[in-house]
Amino acid sequence: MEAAVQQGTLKRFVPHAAAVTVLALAAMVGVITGPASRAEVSEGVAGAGAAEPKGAKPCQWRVVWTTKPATEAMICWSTAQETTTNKVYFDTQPRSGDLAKYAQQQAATTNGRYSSRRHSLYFHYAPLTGLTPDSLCYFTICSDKEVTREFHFRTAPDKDVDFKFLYGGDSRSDRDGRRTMNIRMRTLLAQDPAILCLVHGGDYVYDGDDMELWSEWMTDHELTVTAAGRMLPVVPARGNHEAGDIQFDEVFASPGGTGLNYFLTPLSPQLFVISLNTEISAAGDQAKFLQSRLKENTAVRWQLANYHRPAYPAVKEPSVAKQHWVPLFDQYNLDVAFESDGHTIKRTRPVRGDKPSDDGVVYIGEGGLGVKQRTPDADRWYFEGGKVGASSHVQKVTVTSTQLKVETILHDGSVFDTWQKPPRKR
Amino acid sequence: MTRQVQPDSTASLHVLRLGAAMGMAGFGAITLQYSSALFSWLWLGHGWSESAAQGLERAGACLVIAAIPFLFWRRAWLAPAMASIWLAFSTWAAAETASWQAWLVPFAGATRVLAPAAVAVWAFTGPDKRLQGLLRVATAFTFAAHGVEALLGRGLFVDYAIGVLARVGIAATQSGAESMLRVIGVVDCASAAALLLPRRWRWLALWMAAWGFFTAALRMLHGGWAAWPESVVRLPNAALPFCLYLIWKPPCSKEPSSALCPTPQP
Repeated sequence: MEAAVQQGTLKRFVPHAAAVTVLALAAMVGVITGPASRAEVSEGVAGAGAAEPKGAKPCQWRVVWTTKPATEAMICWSTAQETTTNKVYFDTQPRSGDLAKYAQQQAATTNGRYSSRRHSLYFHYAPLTGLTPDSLCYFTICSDKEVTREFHFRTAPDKDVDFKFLYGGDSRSDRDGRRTMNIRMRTLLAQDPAILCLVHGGDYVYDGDDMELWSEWMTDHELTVTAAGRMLPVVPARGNHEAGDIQFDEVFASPGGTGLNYFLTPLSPQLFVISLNTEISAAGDQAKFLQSRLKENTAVRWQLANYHRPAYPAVKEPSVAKQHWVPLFDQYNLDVAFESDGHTIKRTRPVRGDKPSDDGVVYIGEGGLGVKQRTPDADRWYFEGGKVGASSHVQKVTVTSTQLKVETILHDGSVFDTWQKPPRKR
Repeated sequence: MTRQVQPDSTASLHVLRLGAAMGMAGFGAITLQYSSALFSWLWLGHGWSESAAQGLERAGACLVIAAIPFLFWRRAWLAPAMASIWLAFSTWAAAETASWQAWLVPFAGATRVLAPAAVAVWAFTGPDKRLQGLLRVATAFTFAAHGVEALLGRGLFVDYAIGVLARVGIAATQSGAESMLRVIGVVDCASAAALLLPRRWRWLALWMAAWGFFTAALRMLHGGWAAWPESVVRLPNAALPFCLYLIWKPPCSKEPSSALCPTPQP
């Protein structure tokens, strides 16, 4: 009888023992076939950070560009307390912050409290219009009786001249890394006055609903300002980490319309960047907008797009951009699509019709403005003849009438990749 | 004299097993091919190294795939139960990292997570009321969550609507697609609520199975063959209500000799 009991126990035990053995073996296979460990990207803690918001003192200053960067700019800032008088004093000449000497002033047209239950911070936007193209705009921000030092930025040219701009995405989740990259961008801006702006590919913070994270981002953004007060205007795209969050619109003054956030930015008469939003319908109104803008601008020499989730990713699966936007890119001969989200460095070979093609579109980016970097899948077909890597980075784009050059610059200032192309026959 | 004969539950068990297997296979394929939210949660959210986070993620995916054959071995209930726990953990990580309506994520994935659990439960209960309750809740949660997403006009759903209508020659506008989604959202939520009522409506279960199958297939219709894991991982959305449809087959009231109503086994 004892033997029978033992046999019964054994019978019940066998299926589970077999299952546990197989599952354990399978799990081990999973671990073994995981990626080889690599040294983590050493970001290093950036130097002294910018000051946190306090009282009525204007802080967290941003210049936002959308549709008319040659003549218009949105000056955005924050105050820790509610203020009654909020103005920007501006001029084409430096006035050393002497408010009486500035030729023009613009009151903030929108003021409010950033959406947050816990974090109390106030936003202010002043739209500057009628600016002189391709010239320096000097300005000082004033909230109540508190004033900032004088800043300046260069407006976009209205003539076919050479210039540069920066592209980067994913400045979230690693504050030290973000500060390091902001200081890198500041260094680039100080060294090279031809740099006009930063085209941002989205994912500014880990949780777009968390105003504390946004506040940190805005404070860290102050680090991009040079010692001379030169600011780097931002052309912002929405990322998946701020997918449906109103805070993105509050921080960047609703670029392209609240919740829509798609628009075309002509950085010169011969180059435009079309910023798209991968977090809303790609096939509907946005595809129509994209098609109409590409159709209207077929003669423009350099045509670029900027959006967050990639059509040709280095680690993840392709986004909706591949079905709904890539065919339009091919049809209207886009030059470069900037993509973020993957936390790697990537440059594809030219692609057309989802196949290698020398006259195709090149997809560059994947996001490295501070976020931890991961190992890209270099075996994907579109990287044959391209380049991938893993390190914090920013792309510097040099625009001339004969060449578009994209350099991938790492956090230490070294150049990881250089790619260039002549203009298409349009 | 006529007698009532309980329908054979073998077909419903097979459907449940197959649905669970598809969900698990799709999950494994997506994770191994592209990585999942669990990776991001561990790597960026909790400071794991890339290799450790990816190693654990892949181990879990292999575990879930390896558990598939055990779905078809009634005595080995522990393996599907473990797979269900892993799927629940992954879904929770997905909710932690999601930025758009994160609270909907666990509900939307309920059929996928609970299908292997239902197979394990079946080993003890058979297709009794407890198991049916589990299937009802899982299906209702998934339909309600997708219904709410449709009502909120989720961009991806708008794209599916426009893309699928374009395939049949209808050029839908975004506002037209959004209106259609509102109707679909109401129907999904109403179906979910009706399924939780005590009454057994077989036609409702069949409708939900058909709609679940169509919406799963939609991923492939929209994204092409490469999107097959996205379709396969959603097949439990069809399998669970179809399993209910089969379980709720009314007892035969015919002579045992009828071809439609086989003689019960002694």
